[in-house]
Parts: sequence; structure tokens; C-alpha cells
Amino acid sequence: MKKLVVYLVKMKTLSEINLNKNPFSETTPSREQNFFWAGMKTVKDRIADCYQDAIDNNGKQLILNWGPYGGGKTFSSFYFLAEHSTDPNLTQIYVRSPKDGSKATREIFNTIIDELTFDRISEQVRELLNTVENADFLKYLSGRAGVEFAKAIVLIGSDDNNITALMNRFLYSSVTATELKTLGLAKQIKTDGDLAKFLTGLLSCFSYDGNEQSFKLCMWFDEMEDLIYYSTKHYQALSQFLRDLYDNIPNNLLIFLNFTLAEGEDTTIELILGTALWSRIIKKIRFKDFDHSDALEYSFDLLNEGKIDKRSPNPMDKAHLKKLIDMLPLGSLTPREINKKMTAIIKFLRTKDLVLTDDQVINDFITQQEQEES
Amino acid sequence: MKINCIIDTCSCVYLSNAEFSQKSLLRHLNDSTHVYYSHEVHRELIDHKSKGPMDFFINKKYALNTQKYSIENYQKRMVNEVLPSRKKGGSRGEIDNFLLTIDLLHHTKKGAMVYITDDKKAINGKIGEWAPSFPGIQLWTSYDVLLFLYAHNVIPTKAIALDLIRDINATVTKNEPRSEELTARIQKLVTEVGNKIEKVSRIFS
Repeated sequence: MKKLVVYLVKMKTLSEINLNKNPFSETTPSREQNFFWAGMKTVKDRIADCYQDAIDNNGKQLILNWGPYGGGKTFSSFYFLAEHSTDPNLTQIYVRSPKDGSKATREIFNTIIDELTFDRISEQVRELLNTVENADFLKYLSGRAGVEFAKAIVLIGSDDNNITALMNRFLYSSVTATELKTLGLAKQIKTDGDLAKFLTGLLSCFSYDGNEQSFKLCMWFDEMEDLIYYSTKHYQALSQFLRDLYDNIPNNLLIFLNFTLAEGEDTTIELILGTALWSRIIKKIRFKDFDHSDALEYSFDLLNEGKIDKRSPNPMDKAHLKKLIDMLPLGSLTPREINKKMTAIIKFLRTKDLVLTDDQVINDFITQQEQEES
Repeated sequence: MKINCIIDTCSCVYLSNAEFSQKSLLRHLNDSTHVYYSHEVHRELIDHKSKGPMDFFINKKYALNTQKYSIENYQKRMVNEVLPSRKKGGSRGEIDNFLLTIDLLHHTKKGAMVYITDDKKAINGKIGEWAPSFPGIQLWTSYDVLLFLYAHNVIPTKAIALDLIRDINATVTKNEPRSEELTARIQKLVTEVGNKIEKVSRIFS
């Protein structure tokens, strides 16, 4: 009978190499994690300026964030969504561009309602009904959503649970003709045009400015590069939908469009987004390709964030970090690729039962990587 | 004088799903050039007719025979065997179309010949290997058809030409799983075709 021999390989824990966690998350960030911004100071400052401008003033901004895959655009969205999550007058919404163009407008509509939640919408409408003259509020909404949808939005703020239950269904699917009559409404939300009009009215409640109230609305549209897969018909529907939203919400609006461009210049983005959207963009923030010094700054900030004892050189001092980063080809210097490489060397160090990276560790690590890739 | 085109099944599907002025690019191409295909592609088109509005084009009159040798004889010369018909994943359609193109150009001497295919397997495989030996043949994809129709003033404006890139992209990528590599490849293609449209526009607009 064969014996199974198990060799226990000694391996350092993260805390033994002076890390409380691996700060180089390999995957696309999730919205639940704690965020730490590393490197990319210009990008951070420029996005922060947009937020500050939105908070201080009541204008509209359409911002394009563009750059390579794994360049940090989605991370930026989640970082700033978390950063401003406690601001009571700022409503933030994150929407990922639908993959299927044929239902894009409906999908975006549903995502926005889900993000806001029906209860929050109801609460916001109720607050405006309590503070703004009802006739004035209806007039304000009618100018954006049309009279019928303005009436429907007002009903969402009703104190009657039966009405709000019906309005919940009105938003997501449809109500029967009898229920529509009970609500006193003449039409349902059917076409792409209806979706845009209704949403414009609804979102105008979250960007209301008047009566000593000033609500701000910030929307992130991620993965806009997927518009490249839409047929002209579906592209035009989505483009019109976004333009209607942007043009008809009068103020207090900040929209970010995240767009990944694998290579080339921003003229390609104009081709894919289309001239109508492109011409409305007031600022373009480029997530530029890192050079070695950007990559060092980024990885040093992150490594330091993960250290238990910040004064200790373990698991890697700056000189050796630089040596490692300098060995990476320019094309591998996106945050995502750096995260992969740093995760791999941290694992390598631990499996070798070592606590500090020296020249030998780097050379052995690079050799191992080359062998794995060949 | 109209040029002659020999078209593959996948290109017919792509071009039939992009339209302007209530007419598909396939129909516009058919109006502006002489379009033909091999008997094998005719059989494939019947199999795939639900994939696009191309009923008008599925007609025996577009299916031509080779003249110098039979198609089977040509196949033996090119790939050392007679290829099975309508074999899943097979390459008979593209090879028969290619042999027909050679025959029409060099034996029948029909004039300028264009071989249209979007099949990457063909372009990177047998056809790509054999085509350089016959420099008289032009190799086009659906995007080249778009450029030709724009330069030919069939597509009247640059804006329409740019929109039509979207329709071709949508059909080309319809059955491919979305990935960063695919998006990058299509972005590169859009940039290249966009630049070419710009050049045509500079000359003719």
C-alpha cells in the first residue's frame, strides 16, 4: 500500500512580513471595500475639483474619464462614491453601460431606480411636497417630464401606502388600465422617449434648486466603450436618452463618463460616443499610461498603506521596489498589472519563508516569472 | 464599367444587416457591382437565410461555374482533395469562391475581381496563403465594401458612413463573447475605418 506523505511547507503569514493585508487587490474593485487612493495625484485632484465645483455651484458638468484597461477608472468611481456617501444633499448613482444595446435605455432606467431605491425616491418627493408650493412643484416637474409624468412623480411621494405600492409597479413594469385610472394617470412609461422624460423629472427632484434648498446629483456611467457593440438604431436610442437627461435637468448635475481606450487618441472616443455627446463634454480627464516613476509612486503608496509597522523596510524597501518596477515593461505599468505583479512577489516572498526582499529575491522572482510565461 | 465581386456567406450576413435609405449594404453593393458566388456559398446562404434580409440575393443566377476546370478538379490542385459540401466548420465555401475568382479573372478574363470575406479563419489560413500568388485579386472585408460605396457616392455622407460602421460592428461581434481583447480589436478597426472614411471625404466632399 502506498503511503501518502504530506510535506508541510513553511510559509510566512502576511503579518510576519509586516502586512496587515495584501494592499494590491488583484480584481476589479467592489463597492463594499475600503478604498485607499495611491499615486495618480493629478487625476484625483481633477475629479475632486469637479465634485467641489458641483458642491459650490449650481451648474452642470459632463466629464469624460478616459484611459487604458486596468487604469483605475472604475476604482475612481467607487472611491469618490464612497468619499461623498455621507453628504446629505448629494445623491450619487453608478451605472454600468448595458452590454445588450437592444434594451439599454430600459436597463439604465431600472438601474437608476434600483440605485436610488423606491423608498428614497418617495422620501425625496415627499420632502419637496412639504417644502415647495405644490402648484410650483408640479409646474417645475411638468417642464421636465410633461404634465402626465409630473403627476405620476408627485404620486410617488403620497402618504397612502396603496398608491405608493402601485407607483412602485408603475416604475418597474406596468399597471393595469383600471389601476392607471385609480391613480388618475393617463399614460404608462412605454417608449425610450417616455423613459427619458420620466427619469428627467424624477432626477430633477434630486437636483432641485430653490426655496433655500439645493440638492446635487452626481452620476457615473462606467464602461461607455461598450457602445461600440451597439447597432446604429440602439446607439441612437441611448445617445438621445443621455442627451435628453443632460439637456433637460437644468442644474446641479455632475455626470462622469468612463471610457476605456485600448490605444490611440481621443478622436476614436468621438467616433464611438458620437459628436452629439462628445460636444457636450466640458472636461476630459486622462488616466494616462504610467511611466516607471508613476508606477513607483503608486506601488509605494499602496505598499506603505498595507504595512503594520510603517518604519520597517519589510517586506520591501523603496530601493528594491524601484528595482522591481524598473524591470517591468512600459506596457505592464497599469495599476491592474502592477497589482498582479506585486501580489505575485508578496506570495513568492512568503513561500520562500522570507520577510524582506533583496536583490536575490527579485532575481529569483523574475526568473520564476519568465519560466512561467515561457 | 462595373467591377466584379465574389462574396462569402458571412459577408452577405453582415452587409444585409447594415442599411440606409431602406436598403441594405448588400443590396447597394449588388446595384453598384456585379456580385456572384460559388454553388457552395449558394447552398450556405440557403442554410443561413434567417440571419439577415437577403432573400433577394439567394438565387441560382448569382451562382457561377468555373470554366477552365471543374470546381472539384480545382480543389484537388489547391488542397489535394475534393472537399465535402456543407460540412460544419469546413472551408469549402471560401475555397470554392476563391477558385471561382481565379477562374473568372485569369481564364474567362472577366475584368477586375474582388474577393469579399470577413472570415478571419480564411484570411489567416488557406486564402491568406494563396491570395498573394494572384495579385490581380483584391481582398475586401465588409468594411471595405462600406468604403467603396462611400467613395462611389452611393453612401451620400460621411455621417452615414460612420453610422454604418456601428451596424457592421454589431453584426460582426453578435456571437462573440465580450472581452477586453475584442473591444480593443474593434476599437482599432473603428479607428482605421474612420481614418479611411476621412480620407475619402477629403477627396470627394
